[in-house]
Amino acid sequence: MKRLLGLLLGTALVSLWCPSAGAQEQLQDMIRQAKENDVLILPNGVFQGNIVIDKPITIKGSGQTVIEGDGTGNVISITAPHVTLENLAVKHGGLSMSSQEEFSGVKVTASHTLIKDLHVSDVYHGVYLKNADNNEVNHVTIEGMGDKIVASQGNGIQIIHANNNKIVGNIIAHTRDGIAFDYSEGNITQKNEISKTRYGLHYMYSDRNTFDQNIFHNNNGGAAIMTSKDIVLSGNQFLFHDGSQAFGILLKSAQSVKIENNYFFENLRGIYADDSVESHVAGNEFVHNRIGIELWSSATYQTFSQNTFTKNTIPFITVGVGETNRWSEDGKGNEWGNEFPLLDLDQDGVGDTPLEFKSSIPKLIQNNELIYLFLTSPAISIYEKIQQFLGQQDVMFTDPFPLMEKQKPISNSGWYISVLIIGMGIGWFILRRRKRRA
Amino acid sequence: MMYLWKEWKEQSRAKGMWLSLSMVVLSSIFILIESLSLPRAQGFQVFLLSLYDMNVFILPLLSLYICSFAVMQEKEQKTLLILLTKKESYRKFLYKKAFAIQGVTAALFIGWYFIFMLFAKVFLKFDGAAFLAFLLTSLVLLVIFNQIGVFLGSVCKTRMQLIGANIFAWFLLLFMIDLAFLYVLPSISQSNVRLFSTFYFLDPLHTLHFYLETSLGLFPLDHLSRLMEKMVWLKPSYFVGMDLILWIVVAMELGIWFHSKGERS
Repeated sequence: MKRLLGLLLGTALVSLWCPSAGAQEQLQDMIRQAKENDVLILPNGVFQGNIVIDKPITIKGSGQTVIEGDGTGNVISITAPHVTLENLAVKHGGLSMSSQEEFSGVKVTASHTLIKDLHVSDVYHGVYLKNADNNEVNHVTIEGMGDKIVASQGNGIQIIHANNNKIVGNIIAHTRDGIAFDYSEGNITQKNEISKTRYGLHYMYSDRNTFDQNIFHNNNGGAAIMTSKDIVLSGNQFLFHDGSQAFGILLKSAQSVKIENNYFFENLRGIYADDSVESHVAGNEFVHNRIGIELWSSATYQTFSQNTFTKNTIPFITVGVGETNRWSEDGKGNEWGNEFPLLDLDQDGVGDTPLEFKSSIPKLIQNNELIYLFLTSPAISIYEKIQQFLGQQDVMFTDPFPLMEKQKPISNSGWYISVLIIGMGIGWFILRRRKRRA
Repeated sequence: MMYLWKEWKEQSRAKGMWLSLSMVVLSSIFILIESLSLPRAQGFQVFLLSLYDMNVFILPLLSLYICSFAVMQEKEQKTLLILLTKKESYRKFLYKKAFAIQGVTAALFIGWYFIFMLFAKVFLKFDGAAFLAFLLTSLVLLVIFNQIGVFLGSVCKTRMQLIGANIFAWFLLLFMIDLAFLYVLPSISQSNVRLFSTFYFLDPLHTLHFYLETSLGLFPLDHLSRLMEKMVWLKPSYFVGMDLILWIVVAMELGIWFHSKGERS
C-alpha cells in the first residue's frame, strides 16, 4: 500500500515537473521535494546533473532519460541508504585529476542501494562505491574513453572500503581498469563482461571476495589479484590477453586463492604467479595459450589438479626451481594433452607412470622478455631438442597421476564439412573423366 | 600478357601446382574442423591465425618449388634461349617471368581462400577486416617466397642443385634464423634492441606474423614495456611494406646478376 502511494505521489510529482522537450530540468529540486520512499519516474529528456540523493527514493528513467553533469564533479552522488536508480543514461562527469576527489558517474557512499540498467559514459570512474556496504550494481553499461587515454581516465567500477556488495551482469569497456577493488571484503562479482581495459580486474588489499562466471576479454591483463587472500575465481572466462606482458590471471603477493573451473583461451600466459602461496588451481581448461601457467620461484605451495591443457605452446613453466608445488590431489593429476603420450594399461583413466616435463625456455624468459615473440616459432622445438641433448633443461613439473586425455568426438559440422569436400572432389574427378572421354 | 597466359598453360598442365593447391586445401579444411571447437564469437580470428601458422610451413616450400622449377624449366627446355634471341634481355625475361608466376599462383591460392571463406562463414562468425588482413598477409608471404624461388631458379644450374637450394632456403628462413636469434637473445638490452629489431623485422616470417596478430586484435600495441616500445619502432604495416619491397628487389637483382643459363650440354 505504501509503495502504491509512493508511486502515485511520484507520478504526481513528475506531472508537476514534466519537462518541455529538450529543456534541462532541475532534478535536484524534484529530489528535494520528494518524500522518503517516493518513486520519481522521469520522462525522456535531459536532466541537469551533479545531483545529490540524500534520502531513500527511487529514480526511474523511461528509456531515453539522460542525467547530464556539468563536467565538474560527480553526476549523481548517493549519500542516503535504500536508494534505487534505474533505467537511466548518466554522462559528462568531472574528469579533473587535480581535484581533491576522483569524480564518477554515480558515487555511492551509503548502503543498500540498487544501481540498475544504467548507461554511463564520459566520466572519470563509472560507478564508485566508497565506504558503502550491501549495495547492488546490476546490468550497468560503462563506456570509457578508449585506449588512447587510459592513464588519464578512471575505472569502470571503483570499490574502496566497501563490503558485501553485488556486482552483477555489468558490461564495461574502454576504461582504465574494469573493476578496481581496494580494502573491500565479502563482495560477489558475477556475470560481468569486461573488455579493452588495462586490467579487467585490478584487485588489492581485499580478502574473501568471489568472482563467478565473468568474461574478461581483449584486456591488457585479465584479473590482477594483488596483496589479498581467500579469493575465489570460478567459472570465469579469460580470453585474448595476448599482448606484451599480458595474462589471464596475475597472482602477486596473494594467498590461498581458489581458481576453479575457469576457461583460459588465447592468452600470453593463462595464469602468472609471483610471490604467492597456497593457491588451489583445479578443473580449469587452458586452451591455445602461449604459456598455460607461468610460476616464478617465489610462488610456492600451489596445488594443481584436474586441469586440462590443450594446444598451448608450453603448458607450464617454472622460472627458478619450484619444488614445493603439488601436481595432484586425491590421486588425480592433470590432463596435459596429446603432446604428452601416456600409457594406461589398467584403464583407470590415470597414466601408468608419472609425467615429467623439462624445458629450457624459462632460462630465456628470465633473461629477456622478447622471448615471448619467439614462442610460436618453429625453431623453438629444435632449440629445446638441442638443449635437451646438452642437458640444459630443468624439470618444470612431475605429475604423479597424469590424467588420460578424454576422447573428443568430431562435431556434426566436422563430419558435414568432410563429407561435402570429399563429395566435391569425387564429383570433380568424375566430371573430368567424362569430359576426357567425350 | 603472353607470359601470363603461357605460365597458366604450363602450370595448369603440370601436376605440381594442383598437388600444392590440394595440400593447402586439405590442411585448410583440417584447420577449420579443428576450429569448430573454438568459441564462435571470437573463434574466427584464432582460426585465421592458425591457418596462417599452417601456411608458414607449407606455402613457402610450395612457392619455392613451383617458382624455381618454372624458371629452371625454361632453361632445360631451351625456351629461354628462344625468348632471349628475340632481342629480349635476361632482365626483361626475368621480370616478365616473375610477374607471370606471381599472377598465376596468387590468383589460384587467393582464389581458394575466397571460396574457403564461404564455407568458414557458415561455421564461424565472419569478420571482413580480419579476413582481409589474413589475405594480405598470405599474399605477401606468397609473393616474397615466389620471388626467392625465381631467384633460386635463376642462379641454379641443375635440378639437383635447385632441390638442395630450395630445402636450404626453406630451412634457413623457417628454423635457422630463429635459432640464431634465440642464441643472441640474452645479450639484447635497451641499448641494442633497435639493431636487433631491424634484423628481426627483416625476416618476413616475423613481420607477417606480427602484422597479422596486431591486425586481428590479438596483440594490442598499447601498454608495451619500454623494451617492446623500442622493439616496435614502426607500424607493423610499414614493416610489411619494407619487407615486401626489399625482398622483391634484392631477390630480383641477385637473380639477374648471378643468373646461369643452365647446364652446358
